[in-house]
Amino acid sequence: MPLRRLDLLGIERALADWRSGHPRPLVDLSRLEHFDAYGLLMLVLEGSRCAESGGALRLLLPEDPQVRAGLERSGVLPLLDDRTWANAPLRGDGDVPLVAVVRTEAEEAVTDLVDKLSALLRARFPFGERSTHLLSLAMLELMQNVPQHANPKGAPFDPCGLCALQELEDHVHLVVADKGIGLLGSLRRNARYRRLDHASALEAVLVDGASRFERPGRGGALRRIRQLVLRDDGEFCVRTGRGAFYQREVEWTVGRVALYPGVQISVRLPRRLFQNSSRR
Amino acid sequence: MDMQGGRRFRLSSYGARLGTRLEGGRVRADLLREFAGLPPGGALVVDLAGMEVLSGSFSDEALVEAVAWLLEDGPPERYLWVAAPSLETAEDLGARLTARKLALLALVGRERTPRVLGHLPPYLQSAWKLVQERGALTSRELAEALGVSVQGAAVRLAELERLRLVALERETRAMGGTQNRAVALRP
Repeated sequence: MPLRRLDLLGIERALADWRSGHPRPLVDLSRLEHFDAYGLLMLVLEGSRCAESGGALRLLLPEDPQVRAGLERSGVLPLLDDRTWANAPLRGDGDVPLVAVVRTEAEEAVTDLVDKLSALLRARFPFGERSTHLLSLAMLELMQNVPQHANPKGAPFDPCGLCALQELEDHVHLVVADKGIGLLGSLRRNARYRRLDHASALEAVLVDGASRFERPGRGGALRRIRQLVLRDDGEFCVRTGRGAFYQREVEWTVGRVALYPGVQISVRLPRRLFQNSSRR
Repeated sequence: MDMQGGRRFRLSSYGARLGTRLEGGRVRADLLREFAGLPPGGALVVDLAGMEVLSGSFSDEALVEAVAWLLEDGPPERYLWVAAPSLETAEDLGARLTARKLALLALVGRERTPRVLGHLPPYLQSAWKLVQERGALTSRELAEALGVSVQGAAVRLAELERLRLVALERETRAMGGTQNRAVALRP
């Protein structure tokens, strides 16, 4: 089935299609109308999963020239596994990327990556200093979680940590994603949380501030980022394992979704915040 | 008590955005080295000027862990302060200290009087404020001011000293014996 949306809202349908074709799913983007940073990073993660299983993604690229150009300028195509097949050459060049995508491989590299992405934000939104700082803070916290949590025992697989920043008409979108052991896997390293399931792990981490650390009060960065994002009228979404957490304004919900490895986090902040530092 | 042998530790020399636990661990090692050279009564002031972003993870690893070490294993009569250009700069640090039920003396902006960043129970807050206002207080004076027992006041002062939020000086009483006097710490 051709996908019309490859984004936060449409990803569950896409994942169901990809699962049935694993490890050589046909990703039909020929009718694609809309994509976002979240959908793109899931595509890269899926490509990496397929390659690890001895397969490869098979891509039908968008027919709409504007959507196709957007995808090419996103910076995401060069991150797809080399074995990816596509019905046309995969071009990843572009002068002004809609999406800045980076791989987060080692903790030592995180600050440099954040510095580069922050410079991109500062150049784009010179009057949005406060919100740029908030996104920099979120990037620092979320990106370091990949080397610290996604594969803490150095198992022979690539957690494929990715970070994307996307500027849209009404909001700025930050996504940090990996396909590592997930929140539950990380939390279970702390004996207090061995009996949790995916959904309750999400609540424990995001609402109660639970962490892998034995000493009470350590960790809790995800909860803090969630609080800061909400304070600025943003949206916060985390998907991990079989659970998904979504919050907008004061209401939050935790739902059950199809199993997918790792942690994928979406932070959306209103664009107006980046245009005037004093507005909240 | 004016800080003797105070040293300034500028975080911005490590970068304007500090966020990872790895960086935090390195900075803490440097902080503890600086601490080792402080004389009795000396203070190390961690200066946040020039910082754009200071993450909670970094703060936890570098500063909150340093405070925990100071209280558990650190040399006596040495003090750790933080100087922040604005309360917002120190916000995440304050949240982390609160989560760990720890506290740190802070100078914010151009304020000349210190405040406590992090967690300080109300019964200790009132005692700490009185010591700050009056400059120095014995247990008896504090007991009279708060309307609590002398023993209760002594416990409050001892706890504030353990948290490195006041200094305790032992003095001889006119009628014999000794008593402790809590002295406010000044930048």
